Amino acid sequence: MVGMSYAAVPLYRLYCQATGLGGTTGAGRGAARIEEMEAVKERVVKVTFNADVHSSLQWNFRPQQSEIYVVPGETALAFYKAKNPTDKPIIGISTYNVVPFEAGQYFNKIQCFCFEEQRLNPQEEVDMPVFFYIDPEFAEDPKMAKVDLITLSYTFFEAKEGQHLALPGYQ
Amino acid sequence: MRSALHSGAGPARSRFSARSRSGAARTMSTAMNFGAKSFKPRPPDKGAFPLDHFGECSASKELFMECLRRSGFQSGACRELSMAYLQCRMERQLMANEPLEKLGFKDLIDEKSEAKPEKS
Repeated sequence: MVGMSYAAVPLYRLYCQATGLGGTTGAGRGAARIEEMEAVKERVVKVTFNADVHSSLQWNFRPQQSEIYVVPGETALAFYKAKNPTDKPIIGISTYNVVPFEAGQYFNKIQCFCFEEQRLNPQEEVDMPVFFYIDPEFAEDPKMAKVDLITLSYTFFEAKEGQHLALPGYQ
Repeated sequence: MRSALHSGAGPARSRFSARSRSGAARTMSTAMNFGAKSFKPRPPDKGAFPLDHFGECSASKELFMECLRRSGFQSGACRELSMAYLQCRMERQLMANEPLEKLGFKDLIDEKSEAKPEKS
């Protein structure tokens, strides 16, 4: 299991190249969508936060809130915090996961800290924001009717200098 | 009674172990089997936030977090402060400048512009 998670980063890259993942398909994501969407105020969803680091990454990484209550169609802000307790700079790169799987398609991150190298200097501690929204169509999907808990998990890996996750279509 | 229980336990035990064996195999295979249904992470729409190495917006973040804690982690109650945090980032080149309406704050902006004529 450890070996597999260690291999996850290059394997993920291969997977992306093979499947063309990383494109922006879906329910019209983009600025127009965000500007026009209406909040579905009666449909409260609890979002909980997980933080993991790969065993070789010596960062302290944790969410700054255990949960947040959001409604579809309304943008929301949440924070993680990362600290490099060592005496040398470390570069991390993260990916994320959303459960339940079917809710993931409605979970849109406007901006966060994933898929790009993040360098922390010795003893440095930073806030890492995630700015996201749940698409209002979530409230209209009968398969989502019983979903009132979504868990967002971020995992940081150590990145070597110059390495980046090559996601097609993502700059 | 006892023999009925005993005979019931036998097949159940072997069923259970068969299931756990295939369950383990299933877990191993889905972890590596990229053809199966699995979560597909997407990059964020606007890319990654640059790190706030100097904590320039930490004060703004603290205000937002305090609001969250006070309100029982209701995101809707703290949207003004989340807007203020993002504005802080934009002012310090820690986020690409974007009209706030395009970040989902259209209703807050409209409220403010309506409030202004009343105040003056």
